[in-house]
This record gives sequence, structure tokens and C-alpha cells, in this order.
Amino acid sequence: MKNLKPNFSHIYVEKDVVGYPLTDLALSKFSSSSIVMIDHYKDLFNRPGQDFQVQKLSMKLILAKKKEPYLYPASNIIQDYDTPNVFYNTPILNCIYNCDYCYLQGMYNSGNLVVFVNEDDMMDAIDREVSDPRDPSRPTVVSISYNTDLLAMENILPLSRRWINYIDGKRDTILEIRTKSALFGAIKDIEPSENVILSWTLSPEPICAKYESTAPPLKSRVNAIKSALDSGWQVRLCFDPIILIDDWFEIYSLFLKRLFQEINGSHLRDVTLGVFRMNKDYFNRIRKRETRSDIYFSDYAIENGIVVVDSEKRRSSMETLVNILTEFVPKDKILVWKK
Amino acid sequence: MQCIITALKAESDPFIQYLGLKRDKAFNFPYFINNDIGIALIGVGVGRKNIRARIHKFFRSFDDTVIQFINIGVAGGKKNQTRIGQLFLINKIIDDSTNQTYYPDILIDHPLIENSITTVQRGVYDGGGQYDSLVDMEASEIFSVCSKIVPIHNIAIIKLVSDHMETHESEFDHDMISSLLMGKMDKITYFIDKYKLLGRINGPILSKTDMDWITHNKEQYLLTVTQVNQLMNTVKSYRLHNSSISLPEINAKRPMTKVDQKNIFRAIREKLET
Ligand code: SF4
Repeated sequence: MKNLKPNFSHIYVEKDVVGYPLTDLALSKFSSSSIVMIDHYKDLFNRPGQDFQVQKLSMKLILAKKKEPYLYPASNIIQDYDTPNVFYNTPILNCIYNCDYCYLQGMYNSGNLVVFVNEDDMMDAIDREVSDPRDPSRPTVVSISYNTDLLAMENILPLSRRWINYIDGKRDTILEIRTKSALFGAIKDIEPSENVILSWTLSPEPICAKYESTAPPLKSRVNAIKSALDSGWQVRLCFDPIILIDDWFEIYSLFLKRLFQEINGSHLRDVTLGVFRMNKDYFNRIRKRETRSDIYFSDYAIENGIVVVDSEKRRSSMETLVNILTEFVPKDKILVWKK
Repeated sequence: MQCIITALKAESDPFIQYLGLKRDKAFNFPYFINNDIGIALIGVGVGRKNIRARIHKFFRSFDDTVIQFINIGVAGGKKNQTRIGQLFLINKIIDDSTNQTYYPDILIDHPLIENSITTVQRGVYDGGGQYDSLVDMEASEIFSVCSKIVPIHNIAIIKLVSDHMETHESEFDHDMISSLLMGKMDKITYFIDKYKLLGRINGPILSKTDMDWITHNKEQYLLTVTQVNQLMNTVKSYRLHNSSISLPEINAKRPMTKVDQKNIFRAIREKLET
């Protein structure tokens, strides 16, 4: 909106992070922004009375130091990865995009972004975990783009690049970078790494337009994926969340057919699939905040504290989509959340 | 409605004059309003003592209205950093007595210079060497009180440098303060006008008429609490899809049995969903 300040018009800097390389980089990128010194990011990010959606119209950047824990066990909301050693970390809190179905709106009080500049501490934590894994026979997988879209920030702060450089060549460790961005070009010059999975979330164009309107359109994401595959990267496609709108079957089947005319399914590492689901507290909080998205006013079931499409609908829709997908991707490469 | 909060008469007079505000005797403290432009002004006096009670009284008198609070007043500035008459939008408030810090959300694209301010208990007359930037006696209390009743983005603090912390409060010249503020009136009203936009974003989905429709049907068809919650969500979904179409009239008979009641409830929801 024209009457509002551009994103990152203000940078809030924790006193403790002055002098960190990432702090200096961020400040040099936004040299005309107002700088406000703060004691602790939570004084700003966690305060009550903020309006997540209003703040998303003019997001601010908060530079902070992450304190322990640096690594979290993955929740049961994400797919199984065939290893118990699955974790996520949070180099950034919040996302530059604002998808309707995103749980971050219910998780955080603020629409602003926090970047933790002490990435070395987070990397050390991974090294420690890998040296003593839960199951030594399986690799350790860390999702570094869990509460954000890391690659979407690459032109602002080259964090994905730094994480790829860190992980490359390490044994039994895999980083997943999940994204909706089209910014593969920003890391294209890096040699593809065996330790990295680039995961793109894709939805049919009508879903993108209605529920992911701030993320790049489908076409740009597909081009980025093609480019990553051509360069030799391991790519995962995430059809997640599947939004079961009225004519979902027609929309998704057409979408998958067209998509796999452009992308060779056998070149993919795997694909994941899951219906819309969300922690009940986040869901209720988003509803209370007068969200404008109709997603939050449909009927759902609640299973173990998770708001989810009811099991019958979920089972049949997943089965249907898996059937379509198997035309293009080997079945053992299709991971489904709670079949 | 926008509510300007001032401490001194010298601060309120220019706004009363410029914005055509009229004295309203609804409260036993200075209260002026121009309903045509949706701007009110309340005087809270110097220091913290009246702030909470007066803001609350004002706030409670406006049902169902988005209120934006804008504290406009004078502040002491440091001699080497500020000029008399310079105007600032505040982006950080430090309460000198509690050390609590507040951060107004600055979302509007504005032409003002930003600065931080420290709110003190007593006037500072020694040049304010120990303070980082501006100094006043109300901002932190105003922000603290307002932030508990309206979203943070609906609170703004604007300060004009009236002195370099070498002048005693009793020596403040009413005319000088008023004329300094009058001289910046264009900038201030430009901000106030733009700021209004923020108050319009993200209001409630349902209007008062929609809520009355729900209440009416709840009473008419003896809906349970759970049913009312479900109906509220269905009505919100309806409103998101049909922004200007009235809710349908429901002409069922008052239910005589539980089964009746459930059927009517289902029929109402179906009517909204089709
Ligand atoms: S891209 Fe992912 S993290 Fe970002 S808003 Fe969308 S769902 Fe949330």
C-alpha cells in the first residue's frame, strides 16, 4: 500500500548483536532505514497488542541473538522422513510471504521478521547432534526453513548460501530448505550439494492466487525448480497443504498433469503430500484475529490437538492424488502425511 | 475516531482552533470534538496522574468505534541535537522510573524525523546530559495505558522541541508553545490524515447489523452456545464471500422439539452456504 512505509523501513537491533557480520550486512543493505536499538527482541516481537496482519503490510526487521535451544525435534505435523533424527531450527522467525493457511499467524504476536545473526551457534548445535544421533544408522535431517522461507530472503540476506556452505561435505547430515520463492538464481553459482534438499511448495494456480497471493506465481516457482534440477540439485516437491476446495479434484489433477509435462518426476528426490492441518490453538487464535481467509471458517475435525480435514475426506483425497502422482513419480518417492 | 491527547492548554489551543473542535461537557476535564472530521481532543494535564482515568473515560464513551490515540505535545531536546520548534515522531519510549521501553509501530509513510524519548517524573532543567534524546513527562504513561485498550499501531506520539531542558516549567510561554505548534500544523495534520488509514485496516468482519442478525436468530430458534459459535463462523464465511449482500431472512417456526431445533439450525447454515 502506497501510504505505508516499505518493508524493513525500520531495523531493530539488539545491543548484543552490534558488530556481528550479519548485523553489519543487514545494516549496509538498508542504509536508509531507521535504526532503533533494543535490549531483547522479545520486548518487541512478543509484546501484546500487535496486529499481525496490519504489521505484514509494512514489515520491520529485528536483528537478534538466538539463545538455546538452537535445535528442535520436528513436530508430528511434518511428514515422516524415514529417520528419527529429524530436527528444525530457526535462523529466522516469520516469513516475508503471508500465505492464508500459514500457522505463523497463529504462532507469533508479530508480523515482523526476526533474523538471528549468531548462525555459528546454530551450526555448532547441529554438529553436536550429528556426533551423537538418536539412531546412528540413519542420517540427521534438519529443516532450516521451518518458521520462515529462507530462500525468499536470499537477495536481502544470503543465509541459504551460508548454510549450504556450512553443510556441504558433512557426513550423514541433510539440510532441507523449503521455499515458495523463485530465487534459485541467487544460489545458482554454488555447486550442488549432496547434503542439501531444495524443497518447493507448489499449488495449482487458483490456490496460489487465492491463498498464496504474496508468494511468487506458480510459473516462476516451476522455472526455479527446472533450473535447480538442471543444475543437479536434489529437489523435493511439496504439495502441502492440499486445499480441498469445492472442485479440488479437477483443479489438482489438471495441475499435476501439466506440472509433470514440464518436470521429469523421476529426477525428483521425492514428493510430499498433506492436507491442510494446524495446531488447534494457532487455528483458534487466527480465527479470533478476524482473518479474512475463508479457510478458517470451514468445518474440520480435531485430532490430538490438530485441526484437520476429517479422516474420511483426507484418506480419499490423498489416495486419489497419490494415484495421479504415481503416473509421474515412483510410489516409493511419495511421502504422505497421515494417510 | 482519532483522539489527540495533550498535556498543556498551550498544546491544545492550536488544535482546537485549527481543527474547529468544540468544547463538549460530557466529561469534567477538557474535552473537545469535531464529529464531522472524526477528531477529538482530551487534556490530561502535566505528568501521569490524570492520564489513565481520562483516557479510559473517553474510550468507554465510544462503542464499536476504532479509536486512534495521538499524543501531541512539547518535549525537551538536547541542545547539540535539536532545534527549538523541531518536530519528531517517536519510535521508542523509555520510562525513566521503571526502565520499561515501548516501541510505537511506525507503519505510515510520514515525512517526520523519528526520535526516541525518555519520560521522566520531574522536569529536567540541567540540559538533560544523562538522557539520550528527547525528554517529556507523559509519553510512557500514555502509551502504556492506550496499548491495553487499542492495538499498538493505533497509538502515535508526536513531540515538538520547546526547550533545551534549561527552562523551568513555570517559565513556559503559552503563546510561544502555541505558535510553534501552529507553525507545524500542516505537517501534523498531514500525518493525522494519513494515520487515519491505519484505523480502517482489519476491522471486524461482521458489522453491527450482522451481529444483530445472529442474536435475533439465536433467540428465535433457541440456539445453543456451540451452535451460535458455528453460526458465527458460517456468517463470517458468508460475509467474506458477499461483502455487501444482506444476510437472508429466516422464516422458520419457533422449534418445539430438539429435533426441530437441530433441523432449523442445519437449514440456516445451508442457506448461508449456498
Ligand atoms: S511461504 Fe511458508 S512460511 Fe511463508 S507465509 Fe507461506 S506458508 Fe508461511
